[in-house]
Amino acid sequence: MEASDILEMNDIEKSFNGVPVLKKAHFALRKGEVHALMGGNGAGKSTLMKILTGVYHKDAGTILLDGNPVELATARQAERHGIAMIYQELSLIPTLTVAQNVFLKHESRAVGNVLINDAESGRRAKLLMEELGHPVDPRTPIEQLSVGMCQMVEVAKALAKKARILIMDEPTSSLTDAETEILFQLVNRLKRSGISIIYISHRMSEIFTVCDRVTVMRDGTSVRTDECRNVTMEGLIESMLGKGRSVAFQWQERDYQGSERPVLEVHNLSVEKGRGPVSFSIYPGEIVGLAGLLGSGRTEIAETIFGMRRAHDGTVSVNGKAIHTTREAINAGVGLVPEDRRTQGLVLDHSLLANFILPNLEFFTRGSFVRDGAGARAATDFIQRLRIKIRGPEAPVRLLSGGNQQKIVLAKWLERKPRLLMLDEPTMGVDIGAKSDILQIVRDIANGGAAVLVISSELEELLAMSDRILVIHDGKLVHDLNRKDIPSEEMLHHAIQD
Amino acid sequence: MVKFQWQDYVVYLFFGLVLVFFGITLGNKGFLTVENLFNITRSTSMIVVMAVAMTFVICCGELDLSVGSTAGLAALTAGYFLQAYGTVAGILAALLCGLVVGLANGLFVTVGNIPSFLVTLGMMQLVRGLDMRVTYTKPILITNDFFNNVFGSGSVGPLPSLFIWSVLIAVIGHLVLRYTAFGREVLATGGNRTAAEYSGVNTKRVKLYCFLISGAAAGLAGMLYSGMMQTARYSFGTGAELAVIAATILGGTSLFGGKGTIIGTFVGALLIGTINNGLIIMGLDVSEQNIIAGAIIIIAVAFGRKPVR
Repeated sequence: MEASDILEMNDIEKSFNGVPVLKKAHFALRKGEVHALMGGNGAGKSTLMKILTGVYHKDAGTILLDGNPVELATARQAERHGIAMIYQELSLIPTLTVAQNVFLKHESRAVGNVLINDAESGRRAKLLMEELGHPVDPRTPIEQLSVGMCQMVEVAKALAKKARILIMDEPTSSLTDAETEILFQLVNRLKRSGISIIYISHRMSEIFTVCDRVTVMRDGTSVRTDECRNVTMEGLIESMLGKGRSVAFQWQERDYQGSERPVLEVHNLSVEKGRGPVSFSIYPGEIVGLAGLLGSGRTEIAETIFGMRRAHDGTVSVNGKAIHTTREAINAGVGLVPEDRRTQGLVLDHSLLANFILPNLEFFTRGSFVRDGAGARAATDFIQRLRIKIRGPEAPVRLLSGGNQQKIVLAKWLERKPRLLMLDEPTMGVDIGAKSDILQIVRDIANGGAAVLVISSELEELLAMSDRILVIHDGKLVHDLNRKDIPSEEMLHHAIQD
Repeated sequence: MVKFQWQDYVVYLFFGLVLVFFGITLGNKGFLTVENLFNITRSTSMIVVMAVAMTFVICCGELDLSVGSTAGLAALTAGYFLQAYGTVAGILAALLCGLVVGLANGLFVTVGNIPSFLVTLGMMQLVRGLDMRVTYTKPILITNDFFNNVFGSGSVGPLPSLFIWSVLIAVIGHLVLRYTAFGREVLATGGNRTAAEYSGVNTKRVKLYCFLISGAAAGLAGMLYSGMMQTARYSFGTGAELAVIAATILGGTSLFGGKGTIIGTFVGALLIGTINNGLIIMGLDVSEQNIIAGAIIIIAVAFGRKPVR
């Protein structure tokens, strides 16, 4: 153990129903460092963190805090040792105020410890928020705050409990770019005050921006711990996936069948009054990336093409037919994998089969009746083809990982053999293994002759897939770049920012 | 494959328990006679008809509190048109009356974007007021024997026509909800409306249809009430919406939408009918019946709750 380590987890083992999930995993954290924890789904990251927060109990191994062995048998004990988790899905109560949330179950008391001293709680909450650099009236109800502010309150809540080890699980997944920037500043501020942060994220670029060290887990054990400045993105991907599986992330110049007739023609489209216009076409077999800042109108353009929104002005046509409604779009062979698979892509409480059949009902009916058997056979086919990890087509989709859920949304549309498939942030919150699968699936779709439109905030992903990249600013097309003419991610980054 | 969850079957368990309990305690008081069992099905058939439609409404994520008073209005409409213009006019008018209320509910919910709880709560009171107003609370005697036989008092062989109606509606409802594209769209709309729309489902139309189904079912239930009593009264269907919703939820339909079966609803309605019938035979008065029936519903729903993950 190094002198500066405040936490050391050694030879941690854990099995569920006889299946080992952690096999002699190691993790060490220094005081005042930001330490990235990476790995695909099933690598054991979240199990390891749940052991640290007292949610699970380890089968074997030792945990040292400041060099002393500790038992973290309950969440309460972990909390007392100063370990706190900032949850991915925020755990604040929207109707209560900032102060009430920060001190929930730890309220300042008055009158012989009976009544809650709101004034005192408010004063302390205000102080905490000021320390975080984000003063806010502690009487503000949470529901009036932005997602970014909510996250600040979450952090304040952890600090109120004297946390010194903070675990952040995908903290930027629901933040805008500006909020992400603010979060990074906060992380640095916390770090300087001596708090250690375990940072879990699928987004490579963030790791390099905010983290000092990185530990990669694979198959239940830690395979690598390094200073961030000593690792490359390719190296990290390779560590996470195992040898030779990182090719999906490299651009391959594609030789797609040229065609004179575009599948999609967007002409002078403005999605809202005062935004746009944008005109572009996509040809069969072509993968076009749509880049731009959050709020630049990328999603709106895709949704207008899909008929979910009414165009303010301009026209959209697919294979020469004008599109106004979702029905028309679907009938013309358009599919949309929406931005948020949990609220827009799937009925979470329903089975894979029910979700899969929903946009394909006309293929699976005879007379008036739905043919579930045929649907199940087709769904089973996709389970194998797309490598979806699920017990079977009848299993519900709620508890599946993001990657598996996303593959189901893809299967819904692939069954229709789309002429134009649009994907909005297809790999957001998806683990690295599934990400590599999804990139390959998208290429396969295009190789099959479909036109593909990909929206993504992850530039390396756009650059890996696209034949052409359109840069959108305020609903307007500002650059139409051939992939061959983009030498680096830097250049694309500048094209988007300007 | 799919994990077996006994909570999904709690309504059948309770139905079995209640039958056994009354069978033992009331066996010698005539509970188990064929005549009495048909009595149960007869008195619950209106609830079954409305609950089948309610299952669609709740599955698509809405609620219809107006079914009871709509049944009352349909009964009066049927009575008036039967006496004045004949059989066909009476039947059509009653159905049309239900459809008009359903259309109004559906439009307020889908086009007006008003929560169905509020729309149909208002509609319940409004229509009940109409019920009292149109005849100044006077009953209409129905002398049309054909109508009375088909919709209430008659039977086919040993089977009461009310029983046949309820089974017929339940079978149709089951087939539509479980095996047709429309049924899937209803469940998807209630399960996650946004995802359904992104899959190309016109969820407003789905909801509107569900309210129309509910209205039409209330219309049919109104005819069943009046056919059984050979009279139309403004008070028919009072409080029925609560029994209908209870039957649906007891049958395993999720109050939040997206999940439900007609078979469960059918058994849920029979369960409520059986409890009421048994308590009457026991000789309990109305206040005691209410207390016990209410308690049993709460207990059954509590047992049907799944453990929170």
